[in-house]
Amino acid sequence: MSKRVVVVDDSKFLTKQIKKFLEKEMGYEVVAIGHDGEEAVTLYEEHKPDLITLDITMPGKDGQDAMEEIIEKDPDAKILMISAVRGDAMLECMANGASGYVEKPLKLKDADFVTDFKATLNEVFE
Amino acid sequence: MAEMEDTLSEIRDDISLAASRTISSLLMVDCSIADDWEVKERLTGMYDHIITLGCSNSDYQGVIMIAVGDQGAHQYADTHEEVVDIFGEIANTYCGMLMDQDRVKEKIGILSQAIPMYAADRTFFPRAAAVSGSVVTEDDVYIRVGFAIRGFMTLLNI
Repeated sequence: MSKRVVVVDDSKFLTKQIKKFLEKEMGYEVVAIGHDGEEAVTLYEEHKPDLITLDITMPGKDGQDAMEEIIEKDPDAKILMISAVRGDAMLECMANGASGYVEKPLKLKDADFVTDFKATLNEVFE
Repeated sequence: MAEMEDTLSEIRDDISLAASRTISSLLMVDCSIADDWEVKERLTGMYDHIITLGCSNSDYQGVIMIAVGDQGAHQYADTHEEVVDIFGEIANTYCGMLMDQDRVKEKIGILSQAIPMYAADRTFFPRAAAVSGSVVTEDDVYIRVGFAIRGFMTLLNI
């Protein structure tokens, strides 16, 4: 049975790219798409997915706040952060319960990047 | 101000390279760096579409500008909403890519980023040295990229 995923990013352009990648390259089923942190929490509760991907910089509630709220309600939640934010954000997210962190840009035409991205996704479920 | 211009001159090539790599990755097209990259006293300009993105740390505050003509924008976006979305994501990602450049990080540090904003057709960021230039996509679309930065200033209501 394929993994069920919720994708959250304020860019519709990017959610389309992520959805296409997850479905075509990983065989996952993207069950919902959201565009801010509030939607992330709601969609997680509604769908109880195997994985949720979260951007950090989003209007309203940001991805880090959404991540913490989801983890508080479901400590076993699998959360993959996909963000352009550099610095301590990655360490903070990983320390607070994220299962993985992928830095933008998503170089989906770069074979090395795609290999690393797939490996990160597989590690999330190990 | 002159000191900041010198700093930007030293890292100009890193800034333009990050711009080209960002746009190439996001639009999934080959890109080249135009030879119009220069350091200026401030970031100004009129274009059909401008996205700005604020960024700061305890020492500096800056603005990233992504600008494009209407015809070029619609090579990659059908609607105005898509123009804002796609070029906003370029601004967002470019900020992160700048921080990946060792010399930029060494000179300026890590900048926290805000949400990209659509700025209609004109940009202006005063009292800030800037570097700007164009990235040309394989579709011959010129995308203007700017990065303005100044020492942190606190605005007080008097």
